[in-house]
Amino acid sequence: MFINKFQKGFALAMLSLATFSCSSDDAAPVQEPNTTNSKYVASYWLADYTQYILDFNSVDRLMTGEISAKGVGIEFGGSCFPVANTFFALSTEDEGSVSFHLNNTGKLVAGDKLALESSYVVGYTDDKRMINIGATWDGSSSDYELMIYNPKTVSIDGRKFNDFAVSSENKKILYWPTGAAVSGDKLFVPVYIKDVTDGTNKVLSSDAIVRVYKYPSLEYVTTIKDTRTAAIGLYYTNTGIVQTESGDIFTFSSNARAGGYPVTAVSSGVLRIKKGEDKFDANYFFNIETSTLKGKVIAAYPLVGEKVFISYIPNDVDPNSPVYSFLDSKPIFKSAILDLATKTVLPVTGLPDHGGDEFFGLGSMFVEDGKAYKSFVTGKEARVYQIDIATGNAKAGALLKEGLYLPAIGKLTY
Amino acid sequence: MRLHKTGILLLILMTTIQVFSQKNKSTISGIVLISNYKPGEAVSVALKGTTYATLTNNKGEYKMNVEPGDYILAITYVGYKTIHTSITVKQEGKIVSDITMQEDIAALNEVAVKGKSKVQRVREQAYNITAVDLKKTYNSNADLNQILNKTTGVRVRESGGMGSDFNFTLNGFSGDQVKFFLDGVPMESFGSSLTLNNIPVNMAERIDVYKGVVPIELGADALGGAVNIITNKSVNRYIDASYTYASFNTHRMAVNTRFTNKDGLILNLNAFGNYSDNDYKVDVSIADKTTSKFLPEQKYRHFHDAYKSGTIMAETGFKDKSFADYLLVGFVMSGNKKEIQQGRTMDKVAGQAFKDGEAFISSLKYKKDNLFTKGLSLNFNTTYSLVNNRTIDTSSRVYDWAGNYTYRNFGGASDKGELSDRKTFYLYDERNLLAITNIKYEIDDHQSVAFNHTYTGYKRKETEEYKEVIDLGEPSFDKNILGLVYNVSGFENRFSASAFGKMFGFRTSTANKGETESTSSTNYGYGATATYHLTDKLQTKASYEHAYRLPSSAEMYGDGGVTITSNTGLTPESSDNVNFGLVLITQKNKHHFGAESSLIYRNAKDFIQITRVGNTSSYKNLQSVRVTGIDGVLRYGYDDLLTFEVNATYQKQVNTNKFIKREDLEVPDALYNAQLPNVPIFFGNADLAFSFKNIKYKHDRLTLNVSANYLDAFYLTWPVLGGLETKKAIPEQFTQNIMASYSFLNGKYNVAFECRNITDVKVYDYFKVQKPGRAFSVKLRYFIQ
Repeated sequence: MFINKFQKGFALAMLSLATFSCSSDDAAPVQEPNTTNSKYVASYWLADYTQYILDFNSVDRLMTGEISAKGVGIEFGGSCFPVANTFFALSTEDEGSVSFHLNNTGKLVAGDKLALESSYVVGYTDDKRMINIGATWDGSSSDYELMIYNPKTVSIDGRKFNDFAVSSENKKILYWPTGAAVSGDKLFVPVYIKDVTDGTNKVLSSDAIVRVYKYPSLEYVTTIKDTRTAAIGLYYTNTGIVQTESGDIFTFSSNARAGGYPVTAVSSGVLRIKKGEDKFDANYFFNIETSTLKGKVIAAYPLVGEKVFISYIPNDVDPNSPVYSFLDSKPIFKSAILDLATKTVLPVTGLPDHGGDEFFGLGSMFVEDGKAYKSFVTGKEARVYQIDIATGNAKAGALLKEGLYLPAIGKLTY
Repeated sequence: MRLHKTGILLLILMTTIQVFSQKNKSTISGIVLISNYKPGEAVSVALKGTTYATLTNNKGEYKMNVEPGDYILAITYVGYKTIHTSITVKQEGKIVSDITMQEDIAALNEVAVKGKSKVQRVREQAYNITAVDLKKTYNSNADLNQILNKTTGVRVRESGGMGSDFNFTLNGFSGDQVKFFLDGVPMESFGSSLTLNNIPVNMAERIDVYKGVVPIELGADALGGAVNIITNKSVNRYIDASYTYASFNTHRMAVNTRFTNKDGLILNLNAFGNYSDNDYKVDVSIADKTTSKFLPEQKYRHFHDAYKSGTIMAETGFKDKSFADYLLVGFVMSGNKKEIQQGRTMDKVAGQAFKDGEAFISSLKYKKDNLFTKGLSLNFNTTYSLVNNRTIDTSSRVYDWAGNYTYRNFGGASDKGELSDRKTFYLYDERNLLAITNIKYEIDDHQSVAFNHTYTGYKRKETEEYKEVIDLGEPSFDKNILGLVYNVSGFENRFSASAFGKMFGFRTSTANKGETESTSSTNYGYGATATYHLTDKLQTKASYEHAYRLPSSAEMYGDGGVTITSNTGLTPESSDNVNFGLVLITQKNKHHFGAESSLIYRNAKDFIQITRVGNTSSYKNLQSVRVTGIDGVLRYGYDDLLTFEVNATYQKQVNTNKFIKREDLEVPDALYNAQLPNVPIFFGNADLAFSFKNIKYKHDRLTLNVSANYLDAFYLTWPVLGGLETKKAIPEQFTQNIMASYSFLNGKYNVAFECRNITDVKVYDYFKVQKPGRAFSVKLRYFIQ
């Protein structure tokens, strides 16, 4: 309760500061009592499946020297997501999920703990909560559970089962979720189709498909499809659906071997669901495959406004790449910044060809002051890169010493 | 049935030969005199290189029935110079002239030298060896694991109470890197129902722990060393029966008997059974079903952790015959069942999963000294074992520590079990054929050569009800290990040394969907040992081995993916092992003092290590590892009244990989020279015992024993990584045990009370896996010889 009030107090203070700073860009700095401090928090994933949650006083720390877990960091597994001034480490394993926060001395500490049985999809909501979807990987049950995680109480606020079978007659052909995004009173869950009849989890070609639910009741509304492109998102990474500042939802279809799909004739591209609607915008399709990038979009990360950062695989590289290459660190991917509103492309320069994101995605790109920060594996080394959103110029930052990924980067206040 | 008939035929054959051989024996007799021509009583008289041996009576007389031939008569007596003399025994017999022994002044100087025990003689070998005398622990409720856990360099990590999984660590090497033997026969083919955690102490006489360098006669491909359990062979007729009742509804029963008749017919019978509910309390928290939020920690009892096992071992044959020093056929039948209470940590609870196994083992053992010619001996052991193992994890229930359950939300017909990512009904049958041949030839009193060949043939057949595609089909492997050693001694037996070479042949075959994949390798190991007695009290030792270890079935084929997935591409691992040791033994009046210290160095390549892959694990050739360590033990005794022993082990195990492979790239290993994770580093033990005799009856004995065990904290993951404050650690443990035992009527009746972990501290060997707290036991034992 105290923390709750405390956080509200800080939120108000931050808001005031932000308002003040926006309105006084050209004015001389005014010394105000420093009531809000902040720290940058990142999860650092090592090849042996251990993870260390690190905190830095300055974002510059991401750009200089080495990032190392030697003697520092909180050892904790799971997939991390910055949410509502906490750093949530979501784990379905024995140790449970833990919400980390900065205490009043600025120390990153573990808060309450949560037991989650399954998690295949995670997404943010407008009201600073998170969606989690649990399912059976082998498809032995078509009932998946949608949950709402409340970071303030570190508990599940709402949960509802829904049948993800494509047809009620055949429970072996299933929709499989790849992401979740909430806009207003609707929850959008992009899916691909898989066949579990012979126990091999075979991915089938499909249209772009999104299942729509009411939020926060989680009641199923409808399933929408679009034949202009193929299945949306990638298994587990939650990087196939983005809500931009306008409230519109954009979906990203790779139609690529690298994304784990049998390739069809349609183009890789971006679809839009306008704010307040529950259907694809028939007038909007951003064809990435035929754009100047000449590539297939693999993953998308929100930047500012209507801009997103994407990683893509060139059209001529994908046919020769193994299926699911996005799980590998082999540097076959390139990056660009898209303005979704204007359908313009800005190639990222200064960032070498890089590897995939493995199972990491949502939360791995941190945006502040017109700059985006994310780690990339570029062959023998992995580094943080700072990307100027306006120019697309990338600058090499800190070297990851022991591991290859910073699966999540966030900023917390205290 | 076939085995039964074969046994009867063998029995008839042996009886016939035995009757025939009795007719060909001659008598050798004589008298031994000691100083001042007094008759020497209890002087050892033996024919060197044979099993013929006896003691003189109070008139100094001795008599033996032996085959005619040329022999060396060896007369030994504590404090006197040993005498060797050549004799020829003819058909009509031999009366040896009186032999007078001379005092050994050097040996008697200052201190009264006592005869060396068998255990002490074993300890004096050039190997880095710890010989654990089990006779002192016969009244204890401990199993072999708990006894071994008190020795230097050894740490046995247990995941719970009786019957739980354990990991034996020796100088930083663990699992299958250390090999176990029962009287020289590898135990890896015996299955889970016959392991160190269920064999009673009373069955064995001592345990030899070889560290780093392993004698060729064991025929082992051990990387870190070997443990050889030696059963009691010196007593011809006995019954040793015991029953123990202990906390957590624990029962142990054991009956060990041997019958030997005058004609050399032997019957060994060992039977033992164990049962425990293992319902000890642990400190855990459970999650609220609606909010999924974890609640505060509480004490809960284990409710699904029961263990039961039973074993019958029978062996029969002959000893001291012209055709064999012994020829024995044996049969072992054992079974066990273990309920599984928890997953990798206590955070995951199970209420239905279990494992069980059965083993059927037949054996043939043959030994003959002076075969065809004097000094040539042959020893042959073979076993054939059938082992069935099952792992059952099919429940869709989700238990909490209170024993309540709900049904899994995600889990239709074949999804997750309680512990693994899919439901499991995994059954595998293992067939093992093992043949060990040892041939030794004594060139003269100071030189010998020996040869070993060990063959292991392994085949597994697996079935899995919930998995349509079985990964490996019917995998198999063959191991052929050859060893040759040359031993030499000199400087009045103050010095001895050996040099040896080993060859390891390994061939695997994995059938998968009609296609057979095979691999094969040949590797050569070598080494040497040396020891020198600087004085009568002080001995130095050095040993070296370039050792190889071939991957085991569990490492290559896993357990059906329940906890370990297969990796048939594993290659042999190797290590350069070096030991230096100092041994001091002295005695003044009634004070006995002993000290031993060893320095160890291990440099391993292609180190096979278990690595986590998702929710399961897999073995991989991962690293180069260097282990350096020091251990030491101090012993003090006062007459027969008091013994005190304290030991400590420190070992450092670091990663020596400069580069690691990532996909097709070789990149610098940032953890080069870092201490490996999840390895005990410093531990020690202390043991104090008082023994009082003739308290109420003549020859009764009361023993009071206090022991303590210390293990320093160590980290689950790489110690150099992460802030120490929040790092996952296996905490420091310090436990104390007390025991009081009373024996009367010359040890015929024994009763013992024991309390382990008397302060009831929380004890962990693995991260978040709490072991039993304070436990009481009472043991009743009957022994007649």
